Amino acid sequence: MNVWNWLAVGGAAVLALVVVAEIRRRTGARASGRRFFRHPTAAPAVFVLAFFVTVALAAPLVTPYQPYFQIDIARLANHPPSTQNPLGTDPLSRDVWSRLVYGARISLGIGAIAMLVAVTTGVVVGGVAGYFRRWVDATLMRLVDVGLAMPRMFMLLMVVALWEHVPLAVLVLLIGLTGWFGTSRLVRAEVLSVREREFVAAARALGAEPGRVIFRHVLPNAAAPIIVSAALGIGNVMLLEAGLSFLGLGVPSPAPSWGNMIADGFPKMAVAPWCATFPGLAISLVVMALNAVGDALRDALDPRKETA
Amino acid sequence: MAAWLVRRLAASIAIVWAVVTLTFLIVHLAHGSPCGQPDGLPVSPAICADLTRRFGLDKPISTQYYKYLGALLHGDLGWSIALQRPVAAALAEALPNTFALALTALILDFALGVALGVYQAARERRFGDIALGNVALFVNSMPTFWLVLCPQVHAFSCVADFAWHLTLPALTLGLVGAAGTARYQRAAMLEVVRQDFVRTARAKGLRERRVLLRHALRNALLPLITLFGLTFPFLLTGAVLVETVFAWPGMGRLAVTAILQRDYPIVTAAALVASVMVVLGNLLADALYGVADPRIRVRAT
Amino acid sequence: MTEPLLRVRDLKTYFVTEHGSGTARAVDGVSFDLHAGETLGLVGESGCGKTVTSLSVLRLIPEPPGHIRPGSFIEFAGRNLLTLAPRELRAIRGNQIAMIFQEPMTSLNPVFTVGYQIAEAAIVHQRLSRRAARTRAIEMLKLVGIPDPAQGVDHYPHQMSGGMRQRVMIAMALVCHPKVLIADEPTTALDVTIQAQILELLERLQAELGMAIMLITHDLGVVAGSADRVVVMYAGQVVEQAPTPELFARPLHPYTEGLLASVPRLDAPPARARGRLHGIPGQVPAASDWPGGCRFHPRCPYAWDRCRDEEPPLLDAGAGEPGTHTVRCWLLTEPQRRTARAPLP
Repeated sequence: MNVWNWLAVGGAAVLALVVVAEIRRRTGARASGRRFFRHPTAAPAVFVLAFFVTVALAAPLVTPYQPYFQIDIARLANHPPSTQNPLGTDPLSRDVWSRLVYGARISLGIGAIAMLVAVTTGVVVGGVAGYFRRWVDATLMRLVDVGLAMPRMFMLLMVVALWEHVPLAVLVLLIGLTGWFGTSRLVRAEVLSVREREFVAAARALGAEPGRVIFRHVLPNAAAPIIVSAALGIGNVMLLEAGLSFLGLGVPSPAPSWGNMIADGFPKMAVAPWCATFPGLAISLVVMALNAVGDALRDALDPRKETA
Repeated sequence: MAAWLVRRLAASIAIVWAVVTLTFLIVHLAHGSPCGQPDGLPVSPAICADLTRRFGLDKPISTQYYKYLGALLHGDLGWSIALQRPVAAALAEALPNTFALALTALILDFALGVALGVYQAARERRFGDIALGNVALFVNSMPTFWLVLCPQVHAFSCVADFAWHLTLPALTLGLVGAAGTARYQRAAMLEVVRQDFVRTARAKGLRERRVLLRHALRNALLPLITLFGLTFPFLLTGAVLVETVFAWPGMGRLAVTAILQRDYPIVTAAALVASVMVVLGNLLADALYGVADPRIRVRAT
Repeated sequence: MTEPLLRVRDLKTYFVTEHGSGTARAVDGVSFDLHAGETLGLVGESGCGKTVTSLSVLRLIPEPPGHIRPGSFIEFAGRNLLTLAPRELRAIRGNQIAMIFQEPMTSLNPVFTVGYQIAEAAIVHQRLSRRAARTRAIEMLKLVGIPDPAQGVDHYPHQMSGGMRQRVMIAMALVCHPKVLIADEPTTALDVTIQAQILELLERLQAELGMAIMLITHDLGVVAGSADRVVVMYAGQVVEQAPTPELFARPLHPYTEGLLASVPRLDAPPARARGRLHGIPGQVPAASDWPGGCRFHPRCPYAWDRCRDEEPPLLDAGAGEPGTHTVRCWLLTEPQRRTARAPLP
């Protein structure tokens, strides 16, 4: 790792600090913003997330090697952390730090995209069910019951294992499509309660179309619980991906996802503990940050606390 | 009450049926047959054809489905291709192991989780609460299998007796669960403690301990029942990773092995068991609510 | 005059506001006496500190964000409640001083039977056995007029109506025969007919059990029928204090005047307003931001320069013994200003 890499990492940290400060400044005027940052873990959590995202985006700048590059299989395999390889090297003499950074792209990307798919599906299904009620609602909610009764990990394993060579994009889609059931229930409940309020009736009386009414009036009111469940959901997806990869059924092997790296390092735990430890720490840290942000958001966006 | 029970049971059976059908479809629409295992030895085409015929895999999928459902209704879960024994026997062997693991983990999960949550709520925003909260958050954020890496390396190969082998996976599952339960319980307690009847209890001159452990906790345990209903099936089927890492001969490992070996009958049976557990967890939670919450008890009768 | 049972002196209960920057002086130097067997009405709009005062007496203020300032003094039977050890305080709560709350819906624990909740204080303070406690609970239910008490004892709160729940609250408060009953808006959440029944019940129980009642309400109409003396609060302070007949006959503080004008009266149809009740213009300001000078001056029709600049002390109105009728208003020193302007538009 050369001077420029170190400087870039430092730059990423500074940028993350600036992001935290900026968010705090912009939301400081609102009570919800103050409630968010009153959580002792909220600011560090935002920092962690901003740091990992920055580093992942700027991967070529902060890493000395390509993630697949084998530096010197004869002399630099299983090398402990040093200034050259800050997190050590793996059995194939690849730089763990470089793999970790490129792995952030994959792991965070999977988490974000799968959650986006899940939230979108959940919002649409929940919104439709809550708005049209009657048989539409009944049918969709039975579907959700079935979805919740399926063990998610098990179903994913099944699909991935039985259909050989599942591309990454399909895997992400699958994770997303098995993760919307809870969100849809949440949105439905929110829609059911919001649609009883006067302003929805008023909008309909003025001749607004049903779909328009939902998206313009109902969803903003249901936004808070959706955002919270999304924040917590990304963490879940990342853990799921790690689990699948650990069983050898997630992201295909040479690609450096964090789960993959743990799986690869697992047998070498006694010789080269850094191979599995650092990616594990990275997952824990990011998921913890997501959980902390989710908790803080829950408090910040809780409408019951608005008056307190 | 009776009508309610009948409705619930019908819905439960429908859910199980749907999951089983879905699993059947996923399994049978996948390409790849049990002979072509990626890591197995090459099998001669003649033997493969024979196997395919013997298990009826050459028939149209609808025929296979009806045959499967028919057998299921008679309690016949099928014949495992890989294990060469009845599926029911394989399950009967794995289930007690899983139950032992799940029960131990469940007790640890809720006993520790509730205690921690109550303690944290009582010391809200003081040192003990914040320290424990961060530890719980961290444990809750770790990939389960990563948590087990450390004890695994040193201790696992030493002792071979059942109790000891049970300890580590149960500890792992229980601790991770407890971390989540504690967070949940803390939030529930804090919600309850702000309510008027807690002030009423204080105004009566009760000790703080009695106020918290009797008046507040009884109410704060109610939302936990939902969590229990969700955790119960998870521990039985979702312990896939922990069972695999610890080589614990339970349902999770059986299912993963079966999936990797394309052992269809076991896969579908495992899905059946899993969905039954989910439905059972829901029923159990409802029943517990009925017992614990007088407002529901009255409505149900 | 005999020694008062409960003596509150210079009570200051402050809260840290949400942003942590300011201080809300919810109760700011309140003093009053409560004598054995009497009913004292504590009156004012919401937000003027009545409830905080009553909660402070039993030290039920959540800390943080609230705290009772040093220098405050609440004496009950010769002891300062504010310096008692928690153990001694518990021996008084529910036993010597009991409290009933505004919301009978939320003030009862939903998961215990009303019988258990009524008896609990007796179990704790008098070490009653379960069986004796149950008998006591049934007696109490009978006392507060619940039909079929032997059955009601096993009911849960949600199985009862609001009025019945408030009776349960009263039974719960009185189970140890306390010397003081603090009733915080006991009828606000109830229908008008039920309100009258509950007030009547309190009056009957007072006659039977002989306790003193501190009746907190925003409704002077409630006070008129049941209180012996009235303390009027505004902005965390006592602004007027007098025996009930005296107060109704001769209200001296403009705020009291306004409150009286807003009570619907059957005997005297409102002459000044046609079919409309008189309120007081404006609202109680935020407790973190009391106005300087007299705290009522921004809403006062008589206010002049002095009211803006100087906070009036409690002045004696000179009726009967000193201290019988006191008022926190400069008008007492310059009564001619009252006639100079018509009271309240």
